Amino acid sequence: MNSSSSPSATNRGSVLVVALILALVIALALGSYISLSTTALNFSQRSFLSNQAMNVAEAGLEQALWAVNQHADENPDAWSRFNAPTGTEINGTFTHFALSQNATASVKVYVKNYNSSGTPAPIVVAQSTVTPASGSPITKMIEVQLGKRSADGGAIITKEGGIVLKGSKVSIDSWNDLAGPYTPDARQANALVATPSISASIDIQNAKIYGYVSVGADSSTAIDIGPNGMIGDTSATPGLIDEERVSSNFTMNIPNEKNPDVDALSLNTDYQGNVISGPVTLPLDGATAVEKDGKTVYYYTVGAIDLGGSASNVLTIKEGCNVVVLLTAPSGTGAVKTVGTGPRITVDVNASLALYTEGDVSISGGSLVNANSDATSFEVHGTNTTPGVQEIDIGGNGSLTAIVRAPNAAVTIYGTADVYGSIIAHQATLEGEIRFHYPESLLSKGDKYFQVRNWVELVSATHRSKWTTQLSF
Amino acid sequence: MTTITVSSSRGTCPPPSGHAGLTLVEVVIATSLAGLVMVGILSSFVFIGRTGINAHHYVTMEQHARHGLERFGQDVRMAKAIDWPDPGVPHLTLTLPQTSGSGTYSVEYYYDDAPESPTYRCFLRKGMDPVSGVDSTRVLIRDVETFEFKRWKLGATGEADNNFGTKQLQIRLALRRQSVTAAATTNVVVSSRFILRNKPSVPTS
Repeated sequence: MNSSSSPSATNRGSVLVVALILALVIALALGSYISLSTTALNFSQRSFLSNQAMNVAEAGLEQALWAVNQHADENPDAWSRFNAPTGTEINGTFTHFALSQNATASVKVYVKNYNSSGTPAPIVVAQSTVTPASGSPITKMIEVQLGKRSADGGAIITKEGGIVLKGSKVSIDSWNDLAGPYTPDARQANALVATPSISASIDIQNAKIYGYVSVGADSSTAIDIGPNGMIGDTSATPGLIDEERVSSNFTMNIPNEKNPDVDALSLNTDYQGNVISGPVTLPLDGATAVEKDGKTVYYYTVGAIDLGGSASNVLTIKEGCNVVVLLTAPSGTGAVKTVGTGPRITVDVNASLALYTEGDVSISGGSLVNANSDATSFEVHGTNTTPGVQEIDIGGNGSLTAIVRAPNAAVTIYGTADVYGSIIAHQATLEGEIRFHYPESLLSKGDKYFQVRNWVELVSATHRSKWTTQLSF
Repeated sequence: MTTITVSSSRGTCPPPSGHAGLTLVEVVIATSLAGLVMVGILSSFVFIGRTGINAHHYVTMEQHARHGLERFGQDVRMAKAIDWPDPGVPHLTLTLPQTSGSGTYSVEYYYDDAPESPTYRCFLRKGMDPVSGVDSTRVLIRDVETFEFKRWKLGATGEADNNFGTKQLQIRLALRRQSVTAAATTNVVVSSRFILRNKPSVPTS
């Protein structure tokens, strides 16, 4: 009787209630923590997987780019991982991705104009989907336009040696050649003078560069410039160096040049092992021609070209004809030589001449007459694989339109002339009064391979819906 | 003579069994013990509350930072050009391609360090929103205590000297959130280096 009515029993009940309330509050707090932590964990995981989704989409793009370039290389297995094409379209799905956290991933890739040789441009759309172990899938989508990789990505680029610009009258600029021929008013300041070599220097002296200068070294101290030298835009004056146009750690992959693949039946052998020293017009009547990239091309194998003496000793490339001459003169010997201003190489209107040689080239001032404004109408390809052994000297007198691609040759352009074109060399020297003009159209042509021209991530439903049909496979 | 003696019953009557009062010593001891218990409970509650606030701050800051980096990374990856006139000022402009059709548009990223500004200590994006297509200025990350852009050359090489040599962008920031009773919450964020995929090696006309 006493125990049921004692106050101490009532107090014990109060403690229990208080303890329960405390436990409830602590439980609520812990529940909130767990909820907060779970939210943070989920957010963190989705953010991580979102990055993974972008990587997967990029992998799909890379797969397509590889296939496009293998196709350009005429690899029959280029598209073996894709579905059968429909017209100019092809697609495929790739699922070989190993992700952490039990997530799975796949990417759908659609390529429009997959078999294009340049125009219209191939377009790649990659849509990746990452499915987490729990939660809704994450999708990323990118649209990429491809374009031809440039073989002449700058005005003057040397692979390993330096660049020397001798004389205060040497200038380098660029112009938009698609808008018309070069005039002083058309000058643009987008010429690139660069070397990826970490040890080479660029000696500008007192020359004027309307454009950009870049070296492979860690520091731009590898660029030497005289008191009246200039790097800047079109309004720059001698002595000015625009630091915004100078950079270091320049990188570029410059492959060796090699002779084009020509089967024996397509090769004209009229001068095989012989030297062209007198008046010759190519192609000869009845010569064999092949179709190459939409053009009719005549391939000749020739021992060497040595034009001197009489002014009638002229090698002429006939109007409207594209001629490629493969010179067999060995390294260290003269492959092309012109002496004086009479004997010369003439490229007629709408014609083109490409020379491939590992030997030396010496073209005196005024002995190259090119009737075309397109720089690709006269090309010298130095195929020598030993750095610095081959020598290519071209003299300018008045006007010179040419492209030199000789990554292992020492190239010198001298004289008094406006030069329209570009140079890739082991080392390069411009001396005299050379006004070098770089045609900006060379930035998007010259190579058979493709690269990314425009990379866009599609984030809105409106933009993504543009490709819904093409990706529903 | 009559003598009346007044006596106090309370003083003489023994207390009822089970209803005895507490002595002063007992009260003091009980109060002390109760106080100790209450202090313990109260401090636990305060600790739980503060920890809750801090945890909320951390989560919020992380969400804002991740969202800001996601948006920044999207734009940088697509940028065709960068204009950062003064490396000492955290304000740069990116030139982006139109998602549909040709042409470009500009987007500014900057850190507001002006105390009088309503967006003081915020990292902002100004330009067309890629989803809505509307020009706007949006706060991406709040409570930013320190902020810096970093520009890098291509590959694992050093920092770029100028816009021409810039191939990658990165942001580093320190977040700090302060509430009245809890200690300040801080979070340091270092982003990836985002590659400017559309930036050519040299501009053209």
